[in-house]
Amino acid sequence: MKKILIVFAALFTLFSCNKESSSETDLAPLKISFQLEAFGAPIDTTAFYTNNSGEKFKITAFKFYVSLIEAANSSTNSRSAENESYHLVDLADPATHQFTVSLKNGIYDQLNFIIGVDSVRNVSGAQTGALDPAKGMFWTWNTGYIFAKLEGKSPSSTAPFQMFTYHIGGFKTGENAIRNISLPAQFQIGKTNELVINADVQRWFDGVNTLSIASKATIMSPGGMALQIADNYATMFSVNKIVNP
Amino acid sequence: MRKTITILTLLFFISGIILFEACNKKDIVQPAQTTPLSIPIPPGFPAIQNFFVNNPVTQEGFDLGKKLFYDGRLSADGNFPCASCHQQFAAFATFDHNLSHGFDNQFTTRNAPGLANLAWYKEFHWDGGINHLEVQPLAPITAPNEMAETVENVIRKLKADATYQDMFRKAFASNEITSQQMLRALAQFMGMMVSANSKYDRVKAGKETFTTAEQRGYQLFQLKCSTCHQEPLFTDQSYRNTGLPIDNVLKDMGRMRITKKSEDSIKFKVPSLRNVYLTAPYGHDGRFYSIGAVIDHYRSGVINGPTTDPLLKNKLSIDDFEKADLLIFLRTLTDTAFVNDKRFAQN
Repeated sequence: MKKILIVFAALFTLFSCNKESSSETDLAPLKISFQLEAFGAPIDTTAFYTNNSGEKFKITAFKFYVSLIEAANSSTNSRSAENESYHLVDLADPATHQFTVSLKNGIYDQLNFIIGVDSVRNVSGAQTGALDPAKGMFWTWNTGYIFAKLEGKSPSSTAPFQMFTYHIGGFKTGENAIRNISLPAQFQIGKTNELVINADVQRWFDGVNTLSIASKATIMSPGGMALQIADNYATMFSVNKIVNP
Repeated sequence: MRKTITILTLLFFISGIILFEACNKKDIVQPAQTTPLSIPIPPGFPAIQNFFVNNPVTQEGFDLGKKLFYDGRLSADGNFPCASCHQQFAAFATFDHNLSHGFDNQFTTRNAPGLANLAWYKEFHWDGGINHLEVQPLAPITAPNEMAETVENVIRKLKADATYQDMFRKAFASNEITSQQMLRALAQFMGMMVSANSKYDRVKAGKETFTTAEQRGYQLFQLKCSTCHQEPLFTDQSYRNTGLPIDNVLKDMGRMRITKKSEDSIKFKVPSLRNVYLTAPYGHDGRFYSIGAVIDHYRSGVINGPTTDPLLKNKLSIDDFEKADLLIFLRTLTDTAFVNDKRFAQN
């Protein structure tokens, strides 16, 4: 009888729930805000800007995916990554300019994220939430996410209605437009309230490469110029403010 | 003593079940009230792709997928359900059309392929641009010359319909209707479309025998065709240039549109030959109105270019008698049960 009870108890423990090792109380919220700018000031969709190629343009749409957000400490090598970390920042929807992430308590000196969507989510069928294809950031004819979009008008454009359309994406070898962003920032999860990050569209045109609207008004597929634009916008971020109490 | 053991064992299993349920509460994949279905794997078929790992097939999901497949509301003007181009009596191709009709009197740019055995396909479309069964329907739904609708609008229409609210709830145990659920339901319906009950299959299973002409045709087929039209799917899923001159209006570059590699110029996916007698016309743009015309192309029409398939560069030597035998064999690939299967027909 005793034996049966022991076996019973042993089996029972085997079947009990496997609790995650790090308890959820280790986590604290951090607000991340994006200030969408052009030439150092908040984007004005009625204004004309002039890029370094001397081309006038105005902006009608600006969107990008911020994914796989991670706080890192370069000296201790400790890291904390947000779970299910996909955010679509859309100029047209101010509610998307800020969001709160949940990260492990600790002191960090880097905020890391990618601009785009990791390859796994590009090959795993229909996604939901920020990755819902209804968001218009998905190529239906050549499966994959559009990582970032910039659209507008320019007298320099030779496309219909003087439009320029830059849809940047691509995850396959040779077409990989996923860019890792690492921003130096001293912050403490559990204490810091908010990180304010600037994203300046000028870098799309005047980044490590020069994008002239006259020579290329439309990019809507992976590879080629898309990679150069991704290199450009990878440099558009800077930490504006770290808000501590 | 025996009674105690029985009681204890019972208690153990009951508590085990309770615990199991409790632990899994967070990520319920399949609601308890659904009826599981499984995609039948015919003898000799390889394993299916991993499309259903996060999307277990259920009767409720399948029924929802079928309703969606036949619902014109997935298109802008209500006239173009999936089934408008994928007709069951044509083995889910478009009967007698080289190109199909889409929104606002427009043509599609390619021939609608038959739908069968999709759970085994690595990629979809003639150019292989789609990498997962779930995301395939997004292409026709949003193409301006096909269903011409936005995903957002489709979901809005579905949400406003009480029958859909009920069916989505039953299939996915959630009060929300999302595009992911819609696409998963469609994938369940399409994934269940397995065609493997043709005379060819019954001969392979030893239940029937080929006539002498069918047998000669089969031997020829294995000799001349089966490298590309590999059994049992009757495609090796590769992309090949079969020496078709390019159409100056369509200017379809095929696989190169996806890979941007010149070596993929005017290559198209090898189509399956299952139900081939029902899926005329043939070729990526439907330029051949009979199978005989396709065979004639391989005998004498192949144009040699930089990417023309090496297997076709010297054309195929098939005499008229052999052609007749081949045609007779290809008839054995018609799966009458599949095209009459009520499960896949509109309710």
